[in-house]
Amino acid sequence: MFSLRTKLILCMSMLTIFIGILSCLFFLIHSKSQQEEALKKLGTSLVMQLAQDSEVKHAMNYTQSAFLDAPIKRVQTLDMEEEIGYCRISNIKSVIIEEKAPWINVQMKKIPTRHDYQNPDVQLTHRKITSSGETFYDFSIPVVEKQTFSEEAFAAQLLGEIPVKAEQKILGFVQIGLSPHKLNERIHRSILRSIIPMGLSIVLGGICITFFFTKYFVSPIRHMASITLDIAKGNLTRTVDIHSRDEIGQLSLSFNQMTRALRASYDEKEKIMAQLRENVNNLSNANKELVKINEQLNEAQERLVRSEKLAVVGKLASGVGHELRNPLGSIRNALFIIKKKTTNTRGLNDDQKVIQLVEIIEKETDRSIKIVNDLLGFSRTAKPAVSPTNIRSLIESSLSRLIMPEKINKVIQVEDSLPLIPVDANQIEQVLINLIQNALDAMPNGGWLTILAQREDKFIAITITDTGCGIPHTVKNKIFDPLFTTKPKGIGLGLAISLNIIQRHEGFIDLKSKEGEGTSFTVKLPITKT
Amino acid sequence: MKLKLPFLNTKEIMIEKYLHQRNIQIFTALWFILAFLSQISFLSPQIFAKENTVVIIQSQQIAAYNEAIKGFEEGCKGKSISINSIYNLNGDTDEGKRIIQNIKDNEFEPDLILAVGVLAATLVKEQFTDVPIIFCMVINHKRFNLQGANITGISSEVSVEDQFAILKELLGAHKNVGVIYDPMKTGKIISEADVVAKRLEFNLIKTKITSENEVASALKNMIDKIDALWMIPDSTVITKNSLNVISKTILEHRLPTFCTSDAIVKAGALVSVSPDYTYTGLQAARMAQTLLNNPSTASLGITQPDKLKLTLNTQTAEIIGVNLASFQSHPDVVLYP
Repeated sequence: MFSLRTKLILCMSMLTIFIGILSCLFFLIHSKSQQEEALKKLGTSLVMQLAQDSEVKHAMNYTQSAFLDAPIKRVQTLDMEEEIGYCRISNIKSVIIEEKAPWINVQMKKIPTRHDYQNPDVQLTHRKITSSGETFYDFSIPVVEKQTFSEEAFAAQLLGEIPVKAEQKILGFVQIGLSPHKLNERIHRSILRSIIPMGLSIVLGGICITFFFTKYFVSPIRHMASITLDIAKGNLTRTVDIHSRDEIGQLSLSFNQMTRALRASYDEKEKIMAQLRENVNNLSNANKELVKINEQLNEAQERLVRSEKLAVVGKLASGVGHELRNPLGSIRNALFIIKKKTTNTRGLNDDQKVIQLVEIIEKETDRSIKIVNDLLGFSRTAKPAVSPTNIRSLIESSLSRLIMPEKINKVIQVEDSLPLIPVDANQIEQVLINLIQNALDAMPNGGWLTILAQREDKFIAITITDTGCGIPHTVKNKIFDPLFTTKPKGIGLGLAISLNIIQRHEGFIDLKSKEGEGTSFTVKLPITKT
Repeated sequence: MKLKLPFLNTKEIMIEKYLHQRNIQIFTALWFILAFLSQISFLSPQIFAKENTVVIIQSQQIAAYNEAIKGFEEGCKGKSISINSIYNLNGDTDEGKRIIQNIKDNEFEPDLILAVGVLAATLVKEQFTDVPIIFCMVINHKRFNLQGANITGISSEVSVEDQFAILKELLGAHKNVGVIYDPMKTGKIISEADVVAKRLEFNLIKTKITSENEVASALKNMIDKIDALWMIPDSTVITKNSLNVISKTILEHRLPTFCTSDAIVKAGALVSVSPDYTYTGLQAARMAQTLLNNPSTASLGITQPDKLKLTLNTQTAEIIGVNLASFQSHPDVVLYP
């Protein structure tokens, strides 16, 4: 959720704040104890000054408060910050003088007085007194009789007298109370002027340092992250330029090593990929060739099957035709005679009907003979007897043998100076008649018949195009098969015979057809006989 | 007038004699004469200029000083020296200065000042430069530079030679004598002692110290090497605390100790040689007389005390096993306890 840098900054900032608070606390305590120590020193020096003042001793000896004005004033001049809250000087008999600062609310009665006059070992004492809600640092010291000159004390010791010092008598006590109000003020001042600014500067400085430190620390990682992203995108040429000796330096070194290794493996992969691509290409080429070969194989197989079929059909047709042609011929001859006889005997109304029936029989017999002839023609397709032939005349002769319906518009374009080609004129004419008849059959409602003859390289191409119903895609492959027909009265041998004839001429037939638009057959015949 | 001087000085005694011996008339007549004469003396003080007045200033009230003062007073009797007053400085420097300032501020100027004790001696020396001063009872006076044109003094210490002579008498020669001292305070005594010890065939083993705290260890280090301990008046060595340690140690090790203070003998030392304090006062009175009689002489220098006393601790002697028989017949021997 947070970036590494934010986390670092947060962590370090918390730490810095903690350290700042701790330092502030430490300095606060330290400064307080220092101030207290200074106050104690001041109190001690003031009270000792007062206690050693000879005028104070005189005042105590004679219980004369008038002597005390000067020494108290002297002490007050030393108290420059006006910290003395109260001052009390008492001797054995009574309290000689009691003074308190005007801003002190505590009654002097409530501040305890020293009474241990009999104890010669009593020393300076300082304690904290709290009375009526006000706190004082109380300093009291006994005032003793004058001290003996040390050499005199020594003399007394040597000459057999107990030193005078031991007999020192406590004359009274000097007591000074210092009010901590100035101390508190000083502490407050030091909090405001030094401790808080110090804490703030520690915290702010720490945060600033953290800010820059984390920037310094995180920027190489960010740099590496961006480079990683580039590498992930495929730019393997990028490297990290960090030359520090720390972990980040080591990381960048390892990173660069990894990038190099990646680049090497990537290059190898590319090499392998290129090889693979080449192999795939080769394979696909081989596949294409295979497909082509397969197609050729299929074609060959189809041709084989067709030729086998043709052979079978031819054999069958030859047998059946041969057997049927003679009876059919006899039937026709008989019919001819019947017809002749009936025509000669005209006027007979009853015979009229017979004549009609005979005509029907004749017609159907002709048709049967034709079928049988066709079958025989197919089976017995003879080797073409070639002779140089003019294609134009061939086309024209074919057209002349056909009955052209009125609705058909024909266009015949024959290229000039077409050479004579060596073909069997009868067979080719049969082919052309077949094809033109098919075209006419395809246009029962009329259309355009275009016949085009032109030279194409070493061939002469004759294209017969109609604008009829076209051949469905599914049957395109079958239309050259024998006995396959789409016509109700056809027997399906026309195209098979035509293909057979053209193949014997070492030519071939192309078919182009689009359903609903029309069909175009192109017969290509070689110009020279091979 | 010169003839009448002794008469005037002893006027009270004379009055008593006359009260007993003569009748009242004669006494009355004489009384008038005396009254007249005293009136004259009041009016013309120069007539009594030959009456020498002495001021005594004592450092503090201790028995030894009082003894010396008593001796001085005794010595002045009948020597036309009148003791004007005795001031006590109470051992306090500030008070002493104030008192001496007061004396100086008075119009009255004494003919001679007797300073008893070191504080009195040093303060008087500072304040009075033209009045003859005699000091006494100053321990180790050499430390305080108490010398001057108007200063005469009596040392309160027996000479090192005398001390070693007594030691030799007590223990015999060729002994190792240990001494602890602070070179700042008693270096001069030790350098003098070196010469004397050599002459009297003693081997002096010295240990320097600079503070009271070193006394115990110094003593411990030398205790097995010495046959006797010599304690000199050195305020670094002898203090209330160290004295306890020293006395305990010397008794434990049965070590004969000699010194110049009978107080230390009372604390356990074997023998001390010290001046007789009363006699010191008498000696001072004699010197005062000499000085007053010869106004041209302002100083007689510093002299040794005339009379010494020997203090012996019989208990310690018993513990150590020293025979004191030869000393007991000595005239100035004090035996303790």
